[in-house]
Order: sequence, then structure tokens, then C-alpha cells
Amino acid sequence: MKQKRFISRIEEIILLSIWRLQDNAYGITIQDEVIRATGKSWLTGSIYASLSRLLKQGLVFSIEGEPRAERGGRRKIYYKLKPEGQRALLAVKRVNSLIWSGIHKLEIED
Amino acid sequence: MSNISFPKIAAWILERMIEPNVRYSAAGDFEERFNAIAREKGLLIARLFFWSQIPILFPSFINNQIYWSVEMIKNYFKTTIRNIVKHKVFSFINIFGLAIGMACCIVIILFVREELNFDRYHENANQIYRIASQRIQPSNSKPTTRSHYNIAPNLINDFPEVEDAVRLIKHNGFVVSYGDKRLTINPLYADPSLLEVFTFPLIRGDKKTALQDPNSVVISEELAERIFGAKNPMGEILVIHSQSSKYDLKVTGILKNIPYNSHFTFNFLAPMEHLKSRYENNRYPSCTTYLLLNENVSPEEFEKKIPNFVEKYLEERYASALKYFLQPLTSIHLHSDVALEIGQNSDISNSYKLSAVALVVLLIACFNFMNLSTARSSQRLREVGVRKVVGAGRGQILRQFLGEAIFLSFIALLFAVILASLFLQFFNSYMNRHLTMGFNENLVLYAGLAFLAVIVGFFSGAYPAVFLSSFKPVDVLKKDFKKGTMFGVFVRKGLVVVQFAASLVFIIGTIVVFQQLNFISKKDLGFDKSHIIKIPIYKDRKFTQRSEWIKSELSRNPNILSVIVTVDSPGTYGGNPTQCSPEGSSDDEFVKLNQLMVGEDFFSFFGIDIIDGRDFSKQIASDVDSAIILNETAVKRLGWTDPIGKQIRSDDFDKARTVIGVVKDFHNASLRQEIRPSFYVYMPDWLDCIFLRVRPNNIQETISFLEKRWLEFPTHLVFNYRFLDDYLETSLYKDEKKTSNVFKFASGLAIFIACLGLFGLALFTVNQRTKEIGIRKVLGGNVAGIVFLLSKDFIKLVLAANFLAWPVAYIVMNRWLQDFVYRIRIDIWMFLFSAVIVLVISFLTVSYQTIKAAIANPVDSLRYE
Repeated sequence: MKQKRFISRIEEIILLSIWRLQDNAYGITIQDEVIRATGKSWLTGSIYASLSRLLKQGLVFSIEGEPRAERGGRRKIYYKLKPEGQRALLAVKRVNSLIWSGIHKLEIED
Repeated sequence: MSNISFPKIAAWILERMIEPNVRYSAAGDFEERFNAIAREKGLLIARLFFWSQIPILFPSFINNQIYWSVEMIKNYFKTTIRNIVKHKVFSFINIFGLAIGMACCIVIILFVREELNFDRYHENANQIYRIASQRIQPSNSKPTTRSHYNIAPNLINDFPEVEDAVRLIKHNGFVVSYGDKRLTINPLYADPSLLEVFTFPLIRGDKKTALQDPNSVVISEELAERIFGAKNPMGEILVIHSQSSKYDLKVTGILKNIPYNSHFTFNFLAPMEHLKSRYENNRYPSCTTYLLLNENVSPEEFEKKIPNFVEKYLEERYASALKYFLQPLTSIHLHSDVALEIGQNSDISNSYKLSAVALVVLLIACFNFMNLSTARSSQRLREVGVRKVVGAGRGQILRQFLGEAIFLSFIALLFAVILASLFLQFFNSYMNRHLTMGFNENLVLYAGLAFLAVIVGFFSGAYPAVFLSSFKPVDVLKKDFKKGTMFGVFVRKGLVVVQFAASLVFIIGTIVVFQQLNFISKKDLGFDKSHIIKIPIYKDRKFTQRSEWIKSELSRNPNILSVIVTVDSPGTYGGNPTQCSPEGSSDDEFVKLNQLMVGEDFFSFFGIDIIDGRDFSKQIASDVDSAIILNETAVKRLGWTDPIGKQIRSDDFDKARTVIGVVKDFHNASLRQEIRPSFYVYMPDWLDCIFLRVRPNNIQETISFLEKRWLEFPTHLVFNYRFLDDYLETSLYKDEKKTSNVFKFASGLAIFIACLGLFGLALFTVNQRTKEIGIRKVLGGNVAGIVFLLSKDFIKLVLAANFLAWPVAYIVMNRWLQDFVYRIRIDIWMFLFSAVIVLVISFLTVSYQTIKAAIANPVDSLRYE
């Protein structure tokens, strides 16, 4: 299947976080991972808009975990990458490496 | 434990803000996060965190909402456009009908807005009041705009509440000349404060000094251009010819043209000083006075002080007989009902009437929309079904169809604006208005129109939307779904009946108004008004004194049958009510008779028979001061059997007058009044107008003779003539003419829109029954039978409309006719005639479709699909 459009940067970061977290990727861990990776404080809610979009695009899917007391008796919802998600990540990686290739002296010396 | 402290409200809000597909996981995550923070940093911080999520999430929430609604709207839009294009005829009927209805509304909104804004452009509009007076002794008479000449300066002196005051007197038909140019104008004489109290800006000159010099004049831009052309008018000298003298006036200012929405307008403004000697000691109220009250002065309080003031300044005899009261400037145009107005006023009831008419026309158009949308609902049922199956709620369908209606109504609005600018030209010329609808000066109006479009769309779309969204998908998608419910059909028929009933009312109204106007113009007024030319000459006293010479000069022309010079013609003025004491009654016994003045040969010229006694005669000198002629009604009122030789006394006469004759009754006033008991006195020296009876076959020739001859006459007057019959009709029945025009226009539009709707319905029904028609034909049905079958349903509705329309029309038109003493009876033929008109028009409308269907080859119709 041909990729319609490249995923956005935030989508890329979230997809990578989910991939990295493997079996433990749910809302909170994803947020923490994103914060760790980018060094910026991401808001809980802003993760969900992207997650929702990724779900709709069919790049990720969700599975239910066990109900937990600290979640008000709700189940954890884990997210996992679909093959399409992996393909989308690879596509942006390729683009990234292509557009970065041959660029060496970008660093600014303080 | 954690459940108690968890902020439920915030959680509820947050959940709603998050996309449904991740809502569940987010809710859990939020609560987990909350508990973690509560453990580490305390409950308060956790709560703060939780609540702060709401505003933080808000931007992305809005973003998402818009994204998805835009997607949906795109889809709705697409289906709407497709529907419009696919069903061109129906879309045209809907849009065009609505556009006509809206265009009527736009014109009427413009009209009503101007009516309401009359005189409000003055900066001090809310502080300006007019003093009106009413004679209350010996009996209440109609109030007039006139007040005494001297009260303005006295009011300023006596009352600190009065900041300023202006007196006005308007004269008609003066001639002004500049070099060879002569123009007839209506000068306004006013105090210099006019320019300060009212907001009449000057283009040139200074409003403080422009009228200070008694020999100055301020003219309007438009008049300046007519007189001076491109030349600078400032400082030029104009000669004004008043009745008996002429004087020079120097132009000291140019007025911006007076806005049309003023209850009085003028283009020639001269200082009051010129009229001072004439009016200063007048015992009667003779000028119009406007007061500028200080801010915060209550007009009611001030009004209470006026009676004392009147007593102080007027002779007792007049003070007790007269009442003064205040009229706010802004209410004069619509609410003042007093005599001797300086301009043409209107009445608020006009605005109501016209608004009602416009609303009815718009309503008829909205009904079209409702009818066609519900009738054609079967064509959209599949769409509704599919939408519902893939998850659309009833609310969404409802919104879709409402949105569609509003969209259509906006398209209609675009056309309406174009149509309105066309209508406006007719309206302006019929109603004598100067309404415009330029975009820049009417921004508020256009905003209001957008609102109107939404309302109209909502009103006409609501019922179809509810109707369409109510279907169950399973029923709809089943193939043999029977479209339309009994209720739907009933509503549709009801709406058609109402539409045609409204059209019928308008048509009956048109007929009644037309008949009444016809009746008035044909009615024998008791005098002969045909082929009479009227030339007013009272503005040149020197000329009028040569009446004998004028008569002999003009009667030399063979086309002029007879000439008189007299006060005025019959038919214009009902006379001045005068208290008379007839012979044989005691001193305090009075009879009220209307007094009229007539000149030489008045009765014989107008063909009024003297049925007893004799006419006034120039040879008998005593006729001027001691003779009187009565009309039949007056004789009846006095109860005299042999009136000739009896005497009548009155305060108005210098001595008792003897009855020398009785004339046949004739109509001295308009046909709204009955013939009143009247008497005529002889005034051979009052020579206001020339009346010529001319030969009917050479009228053009006669007029060009008069025009040419006039130039040699010793007068400054411009040749100005009217045909009497024409003049009487236009000046007395102006309002009725307007009503008649409005009715004609409205009934035309109403029936047109209603027929558009009917056409649409017929088209639809015929399409639905194509197969049925084909089968009928195959089985031997003939064309006439099929046409009848198809038309029957519609004709029934139109007939039913009569039952609704007749009583309404009867009540409304009967009320209108009450204004006339001499009126037609509303006859059954008027109803039948309108019924036939509507029936024929609607039958023709429907028959286009039905005949087309009936003559179609059954092979084609049966193969269809």
C-alpha cells in the first residue's frame, strides 16, 4: 500500500515511543517517554489527539489490559504498532536520512 | 479513598473534550496520573493539575471539532449542490419564490425604516417640539399646526426651559426671477434660529449670520443649480414676486438639499421679517412654531404651564377658546393627525399594512418550500436511510436538512437583493419615495437580511427536516416503502389552501378598491367637471384685478366656451363651519352651516341648477353683503318650506343676509363626506383662479394657444394649468390610488408565487403517476379524462381556498369602505370573479403538466425506469 502522506513529527515521536515501550505502551508511559525523548513537558491531553488520529489512520491498534484500582476500576489500554505504522516510520526515516545526508557542518559553536 | 477526592465534574468535562475513540483510555490515564500526583505532592496539587487540564486541552479540542465538522459540512454541501442541480425546476421554484418574498420584505423594511427615522437626523431631534393648537370653544375642532405669531419670542422670555424657538410660514406658488429666468417656488419664511435649532447644514455661508439681514435668502443646492448653473450664487440678487409687491433678496447661503425624510422640506428660505407686518397682529394662529427645549426638561411638565401663558398673552376671548399642546418632532410624521401640515405626512398604519402584505407574500413562498420539500421527500429517503444506517443520528439529519434550507434561503437572498433593487424603482415612483439600498450606507440592513435569511430558512426548513429525519431506516430502505404519511399530505393540502386563500384576498381587495375608485370618478358630483382647465393666479394681485380684461381676451378663442375667475372650484373644500341664527329662532339658538364663497357666474359655469329664486348678480350691489344662497340640504336642515326672502344672521356677517336662491345639492368636498348643509356668499372680488371650459376636440390646440397668449399677459406668473377632473381625482384620492397600486402588485406576486408552488406540485404528482397514466391510456382512457383526473385534486384545493378567503376579504374590505360615505356594496360577483380568475390561472398552471402527461405515448411512460 502506498503511503498517502508522511506522518507528522509528533506522530513520529509517539510511534517511536510506542515501539520502544513494546508491551508497556499506554497513555502514561507514552507521555513520559515522549517527555524523556524530547526534553519538553508534554501535556497528558495533547497525546490523545495524536493517538486518536493514529488509530483512525490505522497505524496503531489498542488492546485492553486488566482493570486497575488506581484507574478508577478501568482497564489499561495498551497501544501497539500495526505493520502500516512501522512502514510509516520507515518512510520518514528514509526521508530523514536522505535530507540529512551530506550535511555535516550545521553545528553552531557556542 | 481515591474515589472520594477525585474531581468528578472535571473528569466528566475532560472526557467530553477527548476524541471518543481514545476517551476510555484517557479517562483511566488521567485518574492514574491524578492518584500518582496526589500521593507524591498532595491532593491540592493533584486537583489543580486535573482542573488545569481543561483549559490546556481546549485548543486541540476546538481544532478537532472543527476538522470533523468541516468534513461533514463538505459532504452536506456536496449533496445540497447536487440536489439543486439535479432538480433544477424545483430549485428554481424554491429559490425564485423565496427571492420574490424576500425582495418584498427588503423593500418594505427600507420603507418602514425610513418612516421610523423621519426627522431623526436632527442633532436635537429629541428636544424639538411643535406647538399645535386646537379650538375648544364653542366646540372641539380638528387641531392645527398653527400657533400665534408672537408666542415664540414670549415663550423664550418667560420660560428658562425653552432654549430656542422657530416660527415658520410656508407660501405656495411665488415666482422668483433672476435675469430672464422665472421659476415658481414655494418659499419658506422662518426665523434665523431655524438653522441652529434644526440640523440643516450649509454648504456655503455661515449659519449664524446667513439670515440675520432681512434681505437675505438661503437656497438649496438643487435650486441654486437650477437658477445659476455652474455660477457661484453667493451674493447674487434674486427678485421675489409676492402677491402684491416684489423685493430683492441677496443669496447668503447654500443649503445642502433637505433630506427626504423630513416632515417639511424647502428649497428657498427667507427671513420671517418680511411677513412681520402682515401677521404680527393677527388674531388667529397663523404660523408654525417649533421649540427647542433644554435637555432634561419634561415636555409633560412644560405643557402644564402653557394654559397660564396663553391667558397672559391672548385676549380672554381667544384664550378660553384655544388649547395649545406639544408634539414631539420625531412623532410628527407618523402620529400627528392635525390640519394644515406644511408637508405631506404619513400614518403608522401604512407601515403596518405594507408589512403585513410583505409578510404574507413571504409566507406563501415559505409554504412553497415546505410543500415541495415534503412532497419530494421520497426522493431523499434513500439518502436518509443510508445516512442513518452508517450511524447518523436524527439530530444530524435534522441539522443537514435545516442547513440545506438555510443555504437555499441565502441563495434566494442574493437574488432577492437584485430583485429588490428593481422593485424599489417601482415602489419609489408609486409611493413617491427616494429609497436606496446601497451597500455602504446600509450595512446594518444587510446584516439584518442575513438574519432574515436564516429565519426564513429555518422557518421553511424546520417542518421538512423534522418530517424527513423521522423515517426509520429499515422502512425506508425496504423497497415497497409507502412514501408520505396521511398527516404529511394533510399539511401539504392545508398549506396550498392557505396560499390560495391569501391570493384570493388580495385579488378581491384589488377588485373592491378598483371598483370604489371607479365609482368615485364616475359618480355624478352634482356639477360638470369635464373639460375644465384651472389656472391659479392668486399670486399676482395686480393681474387678478384685470379679470374682466382676461375674460374678454380669452373668450375670443372659439375653442374656449366660457371663462370665469373665481375663488375655487367645487369638489375641493367643504366649507367653513359657521354658526348661523336663522330667522324666527331665538338669539342663543344656532344652526351650523358650512360657508363657501363663490364668484361671478359660478353656478352657471359649473352647471349647478338654481332650483328656487335667482343666482347672484353683478348688477345688484347688495348681493355682496346681504344676499345668501342655500343648498337643498341646508333648507331641509332649517326646516323651511319657502326659504326665499327669509333672513339669516351670523357673527361672521356684517348684517343679516336674505336668502335669494336655493341650489341643487352638489359635492363640495371629497366623497368621504356627505353633502353638508351649506350656504354660499357672493365674493366677486376674490379672484383666485381662472377656469376655462374648452371644446373637447381641440384641447391640444387650445393649450398651445394659451401658452403663447400667456407670454403677452401682464403678469410675472408662469403658465401653470391643471384639468379639473384630473386634479380632483389625484389630489383627493391619492391615498386610495396608492392602496390600489399596492393591492395590485401584492395580488400579482401572491398568485404568481402560489402558482409556482402549484406548478411544482403538479410536476411532482405527474411524475409519480407516470405509470398509472400509461396504463390508463393503454386501457382506453382519453386525454380529457386524464387531464381532469390529474387536475381534480388541485382544483379542489383552490376551491376550498375560497371558503377561507371570502369571509376574511369581506371583513377587511368592508372596513376599508367604511371610510367613504359614498361607497359601493361588496357584491357576490366580486368574489365569484376572483374565484374564477384564480381557478383559471391555477388550472392553466397545472394543465401544462397534466396535458403533457396525458398526451405522452404510453409506451414511453411504461418503459420509464
